[in-house]
Amino acid sequence: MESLASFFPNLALGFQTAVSLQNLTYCFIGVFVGTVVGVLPGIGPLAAIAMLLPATFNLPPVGALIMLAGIYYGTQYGGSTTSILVKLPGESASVVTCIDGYEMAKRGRAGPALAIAAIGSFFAGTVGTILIAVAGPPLAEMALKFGAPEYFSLMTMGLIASAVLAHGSMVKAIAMIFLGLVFGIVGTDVNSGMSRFTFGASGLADGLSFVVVAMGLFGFAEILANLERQKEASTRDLLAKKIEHLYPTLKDLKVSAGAIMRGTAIGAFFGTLPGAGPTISAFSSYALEKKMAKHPEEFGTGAIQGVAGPESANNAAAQCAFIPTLTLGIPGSGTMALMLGALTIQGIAPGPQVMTQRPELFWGLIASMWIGNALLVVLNLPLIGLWVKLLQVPYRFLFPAIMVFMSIGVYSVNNLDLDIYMTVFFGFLGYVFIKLKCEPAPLILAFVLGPLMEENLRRALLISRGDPTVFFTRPISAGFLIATILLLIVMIMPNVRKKREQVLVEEGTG
Amino acid sequence: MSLKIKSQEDFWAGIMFIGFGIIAVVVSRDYPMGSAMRMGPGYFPTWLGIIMILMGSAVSAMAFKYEGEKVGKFAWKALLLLGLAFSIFAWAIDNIGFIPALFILIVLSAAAGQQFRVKEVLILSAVLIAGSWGLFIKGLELPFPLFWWR
Amino acid sequence: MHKLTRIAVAALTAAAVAAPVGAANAQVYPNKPIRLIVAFPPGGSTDIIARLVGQKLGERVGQQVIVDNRGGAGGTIGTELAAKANADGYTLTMGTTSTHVIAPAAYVKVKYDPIKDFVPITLVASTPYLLVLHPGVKANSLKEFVGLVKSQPGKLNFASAGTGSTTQLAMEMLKIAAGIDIVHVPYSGNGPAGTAVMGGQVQALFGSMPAVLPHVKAGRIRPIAVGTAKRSSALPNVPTVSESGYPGFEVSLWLGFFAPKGTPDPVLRKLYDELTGIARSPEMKEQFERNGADAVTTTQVELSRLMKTELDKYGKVIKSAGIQLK
Repeated sequence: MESLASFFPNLALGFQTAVSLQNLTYCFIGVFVGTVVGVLPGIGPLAAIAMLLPATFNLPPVGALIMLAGIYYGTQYGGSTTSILVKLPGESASVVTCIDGYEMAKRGRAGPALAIAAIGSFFAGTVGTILIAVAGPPLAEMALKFGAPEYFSLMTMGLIASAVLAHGSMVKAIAMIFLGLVFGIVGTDVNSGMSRFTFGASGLADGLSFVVVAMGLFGFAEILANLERQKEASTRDLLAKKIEHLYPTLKDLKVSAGAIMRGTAIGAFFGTLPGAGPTISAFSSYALEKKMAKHPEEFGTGAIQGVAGPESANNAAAQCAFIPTLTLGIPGSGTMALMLGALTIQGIAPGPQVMTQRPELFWGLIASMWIGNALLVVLNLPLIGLWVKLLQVPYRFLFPAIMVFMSIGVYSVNNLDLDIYMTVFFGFLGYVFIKLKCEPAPLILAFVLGPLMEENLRRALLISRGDPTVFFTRPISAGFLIATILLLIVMIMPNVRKKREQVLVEEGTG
Repeated sequence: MSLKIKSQEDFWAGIMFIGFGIIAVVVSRDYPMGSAMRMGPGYFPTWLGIIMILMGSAVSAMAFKYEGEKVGKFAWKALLLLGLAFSIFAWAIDNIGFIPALFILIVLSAAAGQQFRVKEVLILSAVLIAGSWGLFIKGLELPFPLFWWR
Repeated sequence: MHKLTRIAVAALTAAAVAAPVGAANAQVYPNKPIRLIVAFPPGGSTDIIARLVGQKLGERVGQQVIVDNRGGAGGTIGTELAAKANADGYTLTMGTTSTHVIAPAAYVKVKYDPIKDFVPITLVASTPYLLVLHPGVKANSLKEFVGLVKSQPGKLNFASAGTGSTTQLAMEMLKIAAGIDIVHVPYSGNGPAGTAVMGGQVQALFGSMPAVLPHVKAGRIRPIAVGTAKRSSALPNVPTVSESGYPGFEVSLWLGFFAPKGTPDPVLRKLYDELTGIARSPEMKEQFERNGADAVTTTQVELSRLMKTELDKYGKVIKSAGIQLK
């Protein structure tokens, strides 16, 4: 590879471009705005970048891109903060962080959880940046090899793996997956253009938005549960437990190191695929860590690997999402489409020629990505003290504030009142789930992946004119299906099942 | 084997799954089924519904075999007040404006809590509304009307 | 009902607070921020063009133009909202072929009338559609492509950005004109549809210029015809469909500004002057070109006429293709 030989001179050029005072300032503004926006639930990177896009029209191209990219990964960082502190996942990839991150916070370990998320993200961001620089174009080719059969097989694997997310009854977890698939169907069917399960509401024509489902099932339901617990205990506030460590202990770091590396690898692999890269990465990483852990029963009750792995995976994937965007001009998500729009407005046509025609821009962006990630750690580690202080605020002040952020966040997505009514519905449903000990995480994954799965299943059969063998004759698709079968065998294997049952009994009696 | 519900949690969870399954099957009857190889829009949801019903039955059946817990009481007051707070906010924000909508939301939410001290809630409202105004309206330029006169 | 109460409340407050302002109002338009409803989520090409023009309009009239994204249901939710908004010039919408022609024709229940509920101000841009093939397809011209499809009817596939999208309708029009049988495979948006053709999952796509142009330039897909009446300045070597043997064929996506019916004439005139000025400025022309769009301006009458012709044209295609969205 030519790019490999000229890697260091190129990188030097990149740093030269990025490390001007002006560009550092743009980078800082972007990262700062991104963190603020990421902490607010509902207002994701897409909305933030769209809102700030006009402000960048008059900036020089490098500065504009550096700032927008800063916002992008700033929001990735910010999103994990609310997931850990108050169980408000801003996007589907953060749902996993909620599971163990919030449990850690409840046990007075919000500090280590936030810190490990930041450290893991930084490591993953660094690796992701290097990958974009040295292996962008060949990795991007992979995105083109993914057709409908490949996507279907990948989604199937993701769904089977998600059953591992629950730490209670397996049957209930699988039932929740199917319920998630049903909720995913709401909206316009891509293949026929027909509206399904919308009950005549045009606001549902584009489906239930993720923010609505997640805010309801996690945020809203959690407030209800907390108010109730408070009443029963009628003592001090739940979240304001005494804090032992603000930062991770050496043991925490040791346990997390492997999880961070594995998570990064997973994220780098799935991140280049257009579509649900970050989400699949985060869930896969969680499933893997739980399988590899010495004490899998700790997962779901505040295991630090359950935060470190998925957060790294999520961030590596978010970083690698730039690969198809920059090198092929294929945006993997709405946010990437917007970045692409920003590029064209600045007069840059993305594609393989970007690296040769505008090297200062390409390498400047790469260097600034790394600088942005470093700035985020610098910005976030000291903030942890502040965030943890926030949990000391009495709950009777905290929960109305969460209600305010949730309502504005949900409403700002589409400016649609129906979205808020649906949040209430999912809030009530989430409360019922808590009462019936049904865990919502598998449901959310199925909700996100289900529509993609059905869409691609039907598309694959449409293109093959009804021949189901396409799923086995195409090598990548076959590979995912074999992995799925292996996963199933591992799950059903006697000794593994015994372990699960043990867990089940422990929890039933505990 | 006696026919006594040993786990209320599982029993009702199963009923819930069956319920959603039935809704899915019934609503899907309006959509063309197609065939396995040329699926119509009704195919996927119908089968999902049927599987849901089967899974729900399995979960409910387990309730007769394995010991479990009783379903706890529902916090009706909090459910009602928080639901109302959100619903009124949804209507209010576009009709009487951002600031009054937030005020109603905060007061109703606070009422769902343990203690409700008027002075405290008023101060909390003022702080939260001022903060939200600065952050969302001034900072992020969200296009919400502030009051009914916009 | 809520609109009435709002008007009543607004009227009362206006009367109470500042009685003399009323008379001066029209002259100083605009004296508060203007809301520009975009019926699509942020990030799409309609949104980007709306933000580009909105920004400039704001600078010219000395008031902020706030883009209000009300996406959903093929653009019908936002457009319906715009139709019902106060006709005072402070709510405008970015109307497109999708919202003002295709949606009313293809959706079973659309609660606005594109002609009766709106006054057109002017078009600002139009994007051509380009017929592209996967490089492995053995056809270098439209004629060869039609011949290829005819030799194996029902065997080849074309991608679209969704059922009822312009990308589908453009191909449906070609299917009628050339009498060919090629299977429609809908994707969710322009991006995935373009990727599918590049990866060879499907053979053809009638894609919008901004979405496919970069890939054409990179040599990953082969352009064989453009759907506009004249050749595109971006690809002068690519012939039009109409010159390739199907005269009269024309498909493009236009974007323009619309106000609710009843908006005062002085306001409309002011907006017309400013918007056409913006669309004609070299700076905006260059920006549009980068996004694959051409700057276009029209008078009110021209735009009304265009809408009527297109409603008729697309209505026929939608009927013959059996598209009915509910």
